[in-house]
Amino acid sequence: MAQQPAFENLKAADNPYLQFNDIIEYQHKIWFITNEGIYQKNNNKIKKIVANENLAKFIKVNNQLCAWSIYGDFYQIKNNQLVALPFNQLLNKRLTNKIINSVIYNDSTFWISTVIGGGLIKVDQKNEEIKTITLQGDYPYYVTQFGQQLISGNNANPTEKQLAINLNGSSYLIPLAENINFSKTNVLKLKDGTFIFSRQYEAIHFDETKIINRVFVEKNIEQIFQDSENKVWFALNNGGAICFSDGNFNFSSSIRYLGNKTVVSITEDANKNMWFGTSGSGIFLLSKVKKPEYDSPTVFSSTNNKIEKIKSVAIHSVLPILNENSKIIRTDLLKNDSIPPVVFVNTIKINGKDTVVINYYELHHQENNLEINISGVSMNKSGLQYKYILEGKETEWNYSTNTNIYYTSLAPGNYTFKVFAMNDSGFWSKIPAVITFNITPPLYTSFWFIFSLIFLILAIILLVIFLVSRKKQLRDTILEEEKRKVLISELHALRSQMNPHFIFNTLSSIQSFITKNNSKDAVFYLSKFSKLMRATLENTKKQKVAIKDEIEILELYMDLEKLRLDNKFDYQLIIEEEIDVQFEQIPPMLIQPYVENAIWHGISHKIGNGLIKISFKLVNENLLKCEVEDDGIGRKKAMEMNRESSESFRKNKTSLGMSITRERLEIFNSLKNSKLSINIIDLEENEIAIGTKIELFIPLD
Amino acid sequence: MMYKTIIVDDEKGCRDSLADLLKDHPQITIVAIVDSIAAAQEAIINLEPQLVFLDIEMPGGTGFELLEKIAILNFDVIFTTAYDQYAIKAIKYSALDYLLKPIDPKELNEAIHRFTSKKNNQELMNNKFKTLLHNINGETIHQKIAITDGEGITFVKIKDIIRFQSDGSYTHLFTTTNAKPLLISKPIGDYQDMLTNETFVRIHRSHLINLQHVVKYIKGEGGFAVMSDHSQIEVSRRKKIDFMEALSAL
Repeated sequence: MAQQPAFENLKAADNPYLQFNDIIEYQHKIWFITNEGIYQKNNNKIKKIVANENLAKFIKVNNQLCAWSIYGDFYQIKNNQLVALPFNQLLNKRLTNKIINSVIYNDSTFWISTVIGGGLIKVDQKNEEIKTITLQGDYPYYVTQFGQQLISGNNANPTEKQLAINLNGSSYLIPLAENINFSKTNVLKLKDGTFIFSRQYEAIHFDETKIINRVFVEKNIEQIFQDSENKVWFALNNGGAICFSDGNFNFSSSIRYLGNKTVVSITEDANKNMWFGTSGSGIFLLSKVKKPEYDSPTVFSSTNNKIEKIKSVAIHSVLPILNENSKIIRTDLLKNDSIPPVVFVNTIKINGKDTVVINYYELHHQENNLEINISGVSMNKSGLQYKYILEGKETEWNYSTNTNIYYTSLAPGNYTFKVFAMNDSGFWSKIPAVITFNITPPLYTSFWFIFSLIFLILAIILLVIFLVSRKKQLRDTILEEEKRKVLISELHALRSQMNPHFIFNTLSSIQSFITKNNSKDAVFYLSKFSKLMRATLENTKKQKVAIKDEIEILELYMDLEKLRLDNKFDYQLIIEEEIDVQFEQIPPMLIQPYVENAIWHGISHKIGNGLIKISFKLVNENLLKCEVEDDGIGRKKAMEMNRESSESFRKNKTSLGMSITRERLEIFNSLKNSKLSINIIDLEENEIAIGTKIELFIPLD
Repeated sequence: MMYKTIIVDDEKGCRDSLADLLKDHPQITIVAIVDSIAAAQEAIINLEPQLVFLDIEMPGGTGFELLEKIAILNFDVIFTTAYDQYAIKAIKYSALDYLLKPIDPKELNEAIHRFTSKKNNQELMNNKFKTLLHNINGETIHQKIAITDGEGITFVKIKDIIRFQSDGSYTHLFTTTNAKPLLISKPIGDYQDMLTNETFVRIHRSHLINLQHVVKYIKGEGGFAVMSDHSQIEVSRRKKIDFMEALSAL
């Protein structure tokens, strides 16, 4: 393909969105017919000369520039004025409710063809005579010159897809892809004497006797133009312009310009510059000074014969086949290629990758770029045209001579590609080639994907909830730990409160030995006292101590209390043999307060001596039972006596000791999550209190 | 036999009360009562005592410093202290004797009995003092402990002790340095008490292990501690929590 040339774009200053219906070079100036009137190019600016909204085309009448409107008005452009031609009024009457398709001026005569009704109208300027010439059928579509003869086309039978070519009496029919109906057509006489007729997207190349070839383009043809280099230009609605290098209309050597702009008119000036009038995009000027490169036209040949090659270029639609005498046979004389062609799909490329052609393709959603190569088999190989459709994407047939068809970025869905081929004689293939494509939707729209996505989201939510609760739990654990520390410190504080009365009263007992000069007893009890103090001090630091350490404290304590109470009681320690007193551990200073209670509430008020029994037994291997039993006055009586001496500091002392013990039990239980428990049993005999028994159940862990 | 004895203490009350209590022990002859390290050093050199009652905390320096200053330690020492856990631990490790103040006459009797009945040779005494000073001055992990086995006293680095295993009133000691375990004629509880602030945990009635030598824990009801000598030691179910806590506190 050639490089895209640089265009010069011109727009009218007063209205940049004009539709440029026609362009002409006249008296070294470029003139335009727009939907607003006649404009002229002047120093790279497009300026309005005269206003008129209905003008269609220029026409030169005896070297005078004239213009006509689609409703039948004919004007001469003179001194920037529109001057109606003399027959204008008469012609107008005859053309009421008709629309002009094309006009020819030749030898003082206008030939006017119409789109809707009216036949072919002849206006003789010399005789000022207007005549309607009835052709075969009523509706001519075009009129043009062929030598000294006129040629016109009509739809002789509107129900048939046929175009009647009229040559002053004789005619022949050209099959068409679709009904003509009432639509605008173009016809151009090429320099080699052949004609091009165009209607919508179909262009037919023919001469006085036959069709030469047929071309389908994808957009409606607005105008056909042949330039001085014999190149044929199609102006396309919404499709830019196509330039064919010659009348063979070979797409592979065609060049496209101006993208998808709506090109309405094309012309060439004396400097061989190409002018393109658009609808809404202004004027484009393609300067031939910067000559665009064209692809060399393909030489159609199947032999090595040089003469043949030259001829094949020069003569259209001649299939060169060597006969026995090496002469050229004109195959184009074969009339009516009446055998329908056969069409098939050659290759299908998906995302540029060739595939083995099958009837049904199941494609991934990313495999959505199709390149389909089609071909047909016919008697006359060169003249095949195709119509194809991709059902599911398109609703209208595409007409083309192109054998490569592209579909890009197809959405997921079901598509059926159908293609028919038509030979030069207009026979369509009986059976289309059909390929079905199923492009599956991407995973993310499938049920399973959505399902797993929801599942994933749920899982994430659950994970977040889990993490948050775990964090909370962790925080709770930390709080718990802090609470624990507070409790431990409380426990220490409570434990270290060895009864001060005990301390100082014991010291005063020892003092009495000294004052009595009994130094031996003084030293003896002092040693015990210091040991008890030391043990208390050390055990305070620990959460648990061996049972033997606790027993040592109890012994020291009771020895000293005995001293204070002048041997008022004795004690027994009973330890089961199974207990490893060094290995098994219990909370320190747990038992001492109960012993203190037994001494001061049970024994001290008793008349006569008392006995305190302390025993350690294993309930099971995890539970230790410690009993503190006294034979004192019992709880009830002790409480009464306390009430009697309610003012005494002893009461405060004892209640302090017990409350501390209760608190310690609670703290210990909540700390260790253990089941330290206590039973208080009032010992009675014949309903007389004979003492109190404390049962402490201490878990070993 | 008479034993020349020196009392070293900075507090008059303590000196007097100890001297008073020693009146009940006729074999102890007090040759000097001094109140400072400097005076003690001089007295020891001049009087060559067999026994020194040595207070640990004194204004001019500790009793241990006195030992460092004396070249030939050919006498026995009974330390006296009111309250010094760290010093007591060091003394225990070194298999030396001590008395807590105020002195219990009963304990004094026992200490004097131990002193008079044992046959300390010069080398062993020096070893004990060396270990004591080593333990006092050195870092904790290098501390040594005196182990009394059938052949006498051995000093073992605490970090080399893997574990103790009780065998009735005897105890087997497993270390990294001895291929065979040492048989100690003391119950396992003595070592539990002695090593209570070190990295030792009594994980079972029969086992006192050094946490530093635990290489692995095998889960179970109580589980098993795998030691560096590949021995698997059962953890008593009730000691599992203590063990795990101690392990995580390392």
